[in-house]
Amino acid sequence: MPYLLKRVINSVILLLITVSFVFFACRMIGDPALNMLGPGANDIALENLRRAAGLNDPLWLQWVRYMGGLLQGDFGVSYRYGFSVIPEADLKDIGVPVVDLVAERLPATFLLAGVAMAIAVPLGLGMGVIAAAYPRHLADRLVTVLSLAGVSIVQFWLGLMLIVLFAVQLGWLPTGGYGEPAHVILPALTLAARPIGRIAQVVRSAMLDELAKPYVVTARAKGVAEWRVILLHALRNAAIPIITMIGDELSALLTGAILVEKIFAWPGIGLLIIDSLSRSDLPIIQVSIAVVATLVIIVNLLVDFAYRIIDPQIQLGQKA
Amino acid sequence: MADVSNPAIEDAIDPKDERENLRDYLYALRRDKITASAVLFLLALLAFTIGAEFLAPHKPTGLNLADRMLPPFSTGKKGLFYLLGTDELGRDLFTRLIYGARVSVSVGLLGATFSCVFGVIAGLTAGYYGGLYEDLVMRFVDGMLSLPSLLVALFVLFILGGGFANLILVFAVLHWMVFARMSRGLALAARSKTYVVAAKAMGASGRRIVFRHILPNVVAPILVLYTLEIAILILSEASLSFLGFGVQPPDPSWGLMIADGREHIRSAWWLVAFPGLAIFLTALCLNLVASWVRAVTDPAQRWRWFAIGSGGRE
Repeated sequence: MPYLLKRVINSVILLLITVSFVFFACRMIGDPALNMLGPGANDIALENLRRAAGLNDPLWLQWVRYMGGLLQGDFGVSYRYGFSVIPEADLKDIGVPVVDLVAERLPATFLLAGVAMAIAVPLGLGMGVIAAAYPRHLADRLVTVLSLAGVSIVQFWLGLMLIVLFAVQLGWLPTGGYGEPAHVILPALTLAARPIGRIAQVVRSAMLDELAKPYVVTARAKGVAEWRVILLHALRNAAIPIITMIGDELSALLTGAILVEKIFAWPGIGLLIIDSLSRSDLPIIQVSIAVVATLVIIVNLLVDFAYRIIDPQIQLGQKA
Repeated sequence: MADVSNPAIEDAIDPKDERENLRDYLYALRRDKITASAVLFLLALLAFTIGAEFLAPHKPTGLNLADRMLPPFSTGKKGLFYLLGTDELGRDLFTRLIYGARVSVSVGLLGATFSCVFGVIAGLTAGYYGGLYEDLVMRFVDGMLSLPSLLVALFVLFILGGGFANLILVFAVLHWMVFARMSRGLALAARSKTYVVAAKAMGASGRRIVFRHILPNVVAPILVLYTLEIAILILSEASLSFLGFGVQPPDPSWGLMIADGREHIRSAWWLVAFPGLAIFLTALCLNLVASWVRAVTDPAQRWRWFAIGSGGRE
């Protein structure tokens, strides 16, 4: 598979560029040692860190060391995680390996994204198929309005409104937190609104295109039941744009999770990113951004692979 | 066979001048109540944005501690009326929304305009000239597009610092690629069309062909994308400002107002509800207008919009 190999190599290069960009940008804002230890750190601690982490070396050497570390699974150490003021202790005692922090947060984000997609994909598919099966009917109009609303809404605002309604006024669900099944409902619904709208729109227009094609006329003329024509003939042929949109929405969801996790105090990687950005905790920022970028790139690659499985006729690499 | 009432065909036989075209569009707009309301909403928003000083019922910084946290439709102690209620300092929410619109709408408009101009120039020239230049531009575009843009925006604003100008800069840098990708496709399709070949045969320069011949013919799809992009940027601005990395206080913006109101969400829901509603309605109207523009400029669809009594030409 030379094309897919090329795509993988391109993705790896893109990732290396991204990680390097984040690394150099993080070194541009002020004293990295001060950022890593936080304001109020004393001179001795700063000097110890500079010596231990090699912050006095030339920048290119630091970069080589950092990239080498990443390749060997050394993601760096955060000194500010869990502290607001640097305690008077040996740096070795307060450092937390970033890899542990990220690994601890990922399951929560995956759970949230998974539940949101499990809501969005069937609903979006169903709405789109119904709208295409009954064009210009009330159902079609309703789906059009709902999907436009889903695309136009501000995600985090929807989350806040859901909190006001279901948590504050009605008291049915918790305002935030993690651990019980009830906790996932509101954040997942918040995240699902946009993909429902986008998927329904794409399904509707792809299905309308397919249903106008001659093979559909043939199938109907043969007396194939209408539901079979729609679900087995047309939907299958409309799969490519739908899969693309689902992939797009999954990667949008991974970044959209940043805001939703913040609103619902959901301990995922998005909340970790926001918290470490507001504390200028460079080691965590560098790794968590790289991790989310990697996830997004992997989703894009999987969509490409999916094309080939769905439609063996597709000539990857030849742009339409 | 020939459908004489089809304006797309009539246009080809007897091209109309610009004024007649505009009349047709206005007529089609009058017949589509939903899109017409969307256009009216956006025009009103623009009017409020420009004339905030004259149209706002109160002063944006008018502290009035006696009238704190009043719900919508209430009258204050001195008989002042507050349409959408007041905030924790007694400031009128409706007035603040109008001033917030100024920031949010201009971030959306300016960001979309810069990325549109830059993206269209890069895309059209890449599609028309091709070769190594096209390869480099499109590879860069593909790479940038596969990164999560909100996350990159967040990170770059963390490095540069927030604020109005930086926000627009970040949007321009992170959003021109969609325009580039689309206009490259359009230029690629136009390259072999008769009018381009004719212009080339008459000795027109590459720059002239791209900007005087191809560009006017591909304005419609670019306009659709531009409208959608304004909506996307207004939503992104709200998200980034809410997180504290976008517009900085005391500049009012809809996203910041939601962030401020969040502290009082249990007691004063309107402080969060109305700014979000303003963003929602603006984005919804922009989306409606975009899909209308797409429909009326599509030769395969537009006859539906002009069909009945279009300028008495039946």
